[in-house]
Amino acid sequence: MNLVDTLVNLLHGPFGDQPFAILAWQVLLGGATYFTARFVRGRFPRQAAAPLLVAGHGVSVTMRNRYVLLGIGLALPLFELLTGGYLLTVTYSIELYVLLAIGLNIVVGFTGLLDLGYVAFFAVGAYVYGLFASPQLYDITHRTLYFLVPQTGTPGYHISMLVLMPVAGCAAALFGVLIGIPTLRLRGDYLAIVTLGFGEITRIFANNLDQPINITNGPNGLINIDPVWIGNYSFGNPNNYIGPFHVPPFLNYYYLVLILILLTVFFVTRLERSRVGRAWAAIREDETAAQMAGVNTRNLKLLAYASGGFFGGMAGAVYAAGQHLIAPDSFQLFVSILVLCMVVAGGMGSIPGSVLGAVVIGAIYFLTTQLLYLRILIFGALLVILITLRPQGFLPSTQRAHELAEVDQDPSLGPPPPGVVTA
Amino acid sequence: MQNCLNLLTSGLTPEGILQQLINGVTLGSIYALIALGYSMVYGVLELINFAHGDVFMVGTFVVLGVTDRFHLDGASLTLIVPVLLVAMLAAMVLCAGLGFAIEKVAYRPLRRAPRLAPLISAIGVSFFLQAWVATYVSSRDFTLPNLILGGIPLYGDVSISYVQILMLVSSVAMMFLLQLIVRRTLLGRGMRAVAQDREAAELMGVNMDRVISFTFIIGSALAGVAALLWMLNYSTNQTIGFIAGLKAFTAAVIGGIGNIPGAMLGGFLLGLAESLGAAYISNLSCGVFSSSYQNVFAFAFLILMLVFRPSGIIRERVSQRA
Amino acid sequence: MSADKPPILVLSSVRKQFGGLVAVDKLDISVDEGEIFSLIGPNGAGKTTAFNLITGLDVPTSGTIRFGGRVISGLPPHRLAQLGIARTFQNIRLFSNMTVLDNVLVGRHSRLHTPYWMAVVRTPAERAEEKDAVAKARETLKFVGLQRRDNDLARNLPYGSQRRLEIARALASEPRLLLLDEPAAGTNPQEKAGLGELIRAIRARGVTLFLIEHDMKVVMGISDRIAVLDHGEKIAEGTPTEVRTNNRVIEAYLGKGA
Repeated sequence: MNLVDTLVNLLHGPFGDQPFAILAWQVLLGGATYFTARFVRGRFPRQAAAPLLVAGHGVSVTMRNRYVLLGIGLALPLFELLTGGYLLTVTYSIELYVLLAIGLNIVVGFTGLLDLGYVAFFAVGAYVYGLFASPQLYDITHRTLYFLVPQTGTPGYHISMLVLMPVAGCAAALFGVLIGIPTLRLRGDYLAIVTLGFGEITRIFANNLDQPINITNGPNGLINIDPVWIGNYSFGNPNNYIGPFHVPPFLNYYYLVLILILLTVFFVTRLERSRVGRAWAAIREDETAAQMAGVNTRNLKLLAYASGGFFGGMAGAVYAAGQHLIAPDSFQLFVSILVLCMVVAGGMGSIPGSVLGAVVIGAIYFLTTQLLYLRILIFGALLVILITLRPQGFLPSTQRAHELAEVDQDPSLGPPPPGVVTA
Repeated sequence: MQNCLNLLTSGLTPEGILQQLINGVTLGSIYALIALGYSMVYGVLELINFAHGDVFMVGTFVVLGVTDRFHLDGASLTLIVPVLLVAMLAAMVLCAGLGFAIEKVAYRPLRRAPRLAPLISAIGVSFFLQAWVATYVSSRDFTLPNLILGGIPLYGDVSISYVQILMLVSSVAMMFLLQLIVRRTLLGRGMRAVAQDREAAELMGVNMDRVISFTFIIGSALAGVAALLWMLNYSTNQTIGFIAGLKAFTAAVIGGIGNIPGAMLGGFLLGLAESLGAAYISNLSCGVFSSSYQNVFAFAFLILMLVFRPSGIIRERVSQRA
Repeated sequence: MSADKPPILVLSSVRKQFGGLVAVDKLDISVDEGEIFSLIGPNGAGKTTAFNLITGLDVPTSGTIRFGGRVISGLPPHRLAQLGIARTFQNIRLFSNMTVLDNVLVGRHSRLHTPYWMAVVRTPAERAEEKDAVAKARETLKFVGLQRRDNDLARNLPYGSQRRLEIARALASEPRLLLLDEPAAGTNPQEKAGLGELIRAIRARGVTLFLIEHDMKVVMGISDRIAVLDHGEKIAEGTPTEVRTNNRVIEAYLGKGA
C-alpha cells in the first residue's frame, strides 16, 4: 500500500540510516506536529474539531444500536467473500479479539481490576480443548482410561465440541479463581504486575511441561487438534458445500465465534444490570465503602475473574479447534496488552466500546503486518496519545465518561493509592 | 533417586558457590542501580514506571553507539578507559533526557487520572522504545568485545575479574553520590518531602513539577550508568529492558519500595538469588526444573513478595499515615 | 436509659496498637438498644479508630466487641452489614459516578438473596426482588428527603444532600445499629437542625445510633449518653449534663489551667 510506504519513509527521514540522525529527524517532526496541533486548536477550536465531532457522534450512535452491530456482524464475511475474501483471516482474528475484549471488560471495565495477564485464560482454554481434542492426552492416559475412548478412526478422545468448549471455559474460570485469590488485597499497579506475572508463568509452563510427563508438548505445542464438527459436518473441511455455496472453514468458525459473542454479551449485559453489576461498579468506585455497604468484595471479585476467564477460555477453545495446532508462542504477554488496549481505547465498562476498540485497534494491528516492528512503534505512540487525550476511550459508558472526562478531579475523591489495603 | 543425590553432591562445591556469590553480587549491583529508578519514582508518584527498564535498554545501545566509533578490540587501556567514560556519560545524558521527556509527555498529563491511565501510557512508551530500537537500529543481539581482561584470583579456582571489581566500585560510588544528592541538595530534600506527604510538601512550597522531573532525571541517569556496566559483561537486544526491568522492580520491592537504601539491598539480594538459582536449579530440584524456568522463579518470587510482603523484607518503624 | 434489654453493642477492654502507637486502650463502652450514643473527644483521641474496629475495617489488638451478644471483632465488614451494622464516613465516601438510586441500591445488597446466576436468567423471583429493592430504596430516599432525584449523579449533589445520601445508603441495609462519623461536619445551622430531626426520626424507626461528632451543640442536643475519649482512653461517660460539667473533660478540651 502506497500510503503505508509514504508513512514509513516519512518517519525514516532524509538524513540517512544512522539512529541518531533518525532520532533527530523524528524529534523535529514530532515537535512540528505538536506545535501545529496546538496552533490549530488555539485559532480554530470549534471549526477544527467539528467534522470529527460529527463523525464521532455518528459512529457512537451506530455502534450503540445492537441491531446494527448484529447486522454488520452477520453480513460482513459474506460481503467479504463476494469481494474476493482477502480480509477473511483478518476479520476472523479481529472477531476473536472482540470476544476477548468483552471478556476482559468484565474484569477491567466493570470491576476495575487491572489485569495484564488475560492471555492466560485464552491459553488455558486452548490447551484444555487441545488436550482432549488431540491425541496428546489420549497418548498419556488411554491405557488407564480406556473405557472413555470411543472406538473410532484416529486415536484420541474425540469429545464433541458442545461438551468440550464449556469444559475449557470452566477450566479457565477455575484458573481465574485460583489467580484471583492471592490478588484480592492488591490494588492498582501491584495487581497489574502480579497478573502479568501469572500470565507469563502460564506461558512458560506451557513451554516447559514436556518433562517429566509430556502434558503440553513444550515449544512445539499440540498438533492434530480436532476441528469442530456437528454430526457429519466438520468445520475444518475445506470442501464443504451448503447447497450451491462453497463454505470455507473460516466462515464456519466465524459464525461459531459470533454465536459465542452473542452469548457473552447476553450474559454480561444481564449481569451488569443486576445487583452484581452494581456491586462491581461499587467495588470499582470505592472498595472499602462497598464492603461497608454489605458487598462481599471477595466473592464478587472472584466472580469477575471467573466470568472473564470463562469467556476467554471458550475463545481459546475455538481458536485451538480452528487452528488445528497451538503453541506457547501464540500466548505471549503482548496478547494481554493488545486486548487491554482494545478495552481501554474502546471505553472501559462499555460493551459497544469493547467491540469498537477491538475492531479499530485490531484493524490497525493486523493490517500492517508488513511493517514489522514499526507497527508496534506506531501502536505504542498511539496508545500514549490516546490515553493522554481521551482516557475514557471512544465509547465510554456513562459512568466512565464522568469518571475520566474531568481528569482534574479533586484527588481526595479518587481511588485509594495502590498497594495492600490493611483489612 | 541415585541420580538426584549425585546432582546434589557433585554439583555443589564451596568454590563453585563462592564464585556464584561473587557473580551474584556484581550482577546485583547493576540491578540495584536500575532498582533505584523504580524506587524513587514510586516514592514520589506512587507509580510503577514500566518504561524504566526500556530506558536502560536504550542506554545500552547508546553505549554501543559510542564505542562503535572507535576500534576498541585489542586496543590499549589508554584508549579504552576514556572511551568507556565518554560512553557512560553519553548514556547518562541521553537516558536522563529520555526519562525527562517520558515523564513530561506520558505521565504528567495523567497525574490525577485513575491508576490505569498512566499504566497504559507507560506500556505504550515501553513498546515504543523497544520497537524504535528494533526498527531503526536492529533487532539482533549485540555485545561489546572483551575489553578489560584478567582479574584477581582469590581461592582455588575462584577469582574476581577486573570488570567485576569495576562494576562493584562504580555502582557503590554512584549510590553514594545519590545519597549525597538526596540528603544535601534542595531538590533532593524536596523528593523526600513529597515521598513522605505530598500535600504537605505542596503546601510548604515545594515545586512538584521540578521535583518529579528531577526524580526521573536522576533515576534515568543511574540507569545509564547501569547500561555501561551491563555492556561490559553481557549482551543486549531490544527486549532486555522488560526482563531487567522486572527484576529490578522486584529488587525495589524486596527492599521496600520508595526506600533508597532498600533498593540497593534488594538489588544485591536479587543478583545473588539469580546467580545461585541459575547455576543450581537443576541440582536442587533433582533435574525437574531446568534453568529455563529461571524467569518463572523470578516472577513467582515477585508475586509472593507483593502478595505477602509488599512493604519489603525490612521491618520499617514507620508511623502510620492517617 | 433503663436496660430492660441487653445492650446492643459492647466493647470490652478493647485495645488497638499500630506498631509503637497505641490508638485506643482499655476501652469499655456499652450502647443500649434504641439510644443515641455519642463519642466525643479532642482530635486524635481515637474515635475513628474505635469506629473502624466496630465496623470491621480493623481488628483489635486485644479485647472483644460484641454486637447483639455475639462476638464480631474480626468479622469482615460485609458480614457485619448482614448482621445489621451500617456506617457513614467522615469524608463522605459515596460512589460518586453512580446515580443516587444506585448508591442506595448498593446499600441494599446485603438484603438481597437471589443467587447471582438468576440475574442472568431473570427468574420471576429475581425480578420481584429487584422491584422490591427499588421500591424500598425510593422509600429510604424519601425518608431522608432526597425524593425524585433518583437519576442524578451522586457527584453532582450539594454537600448536605450528599451526606443525606450516604445516610440513605446506610439505612438501606436495614441496620440495627447505625454509626455516623461526624455527620454534622461542614454543615450550616439549618442543615444541622435538619440533621437532628433526621437522627431522631431514625431512632423512632428502631435503629440505635452511635455518633462521633465535634459539634457540641449537636451532640448535647441529641444524645442520650456521651462517652469522652482522650488519648485513646475513656475519661468520662454519662448524660450530656454530666459530661458537660465534668472537670476532666473540660481539661482535655481546653488544656490544664483553663
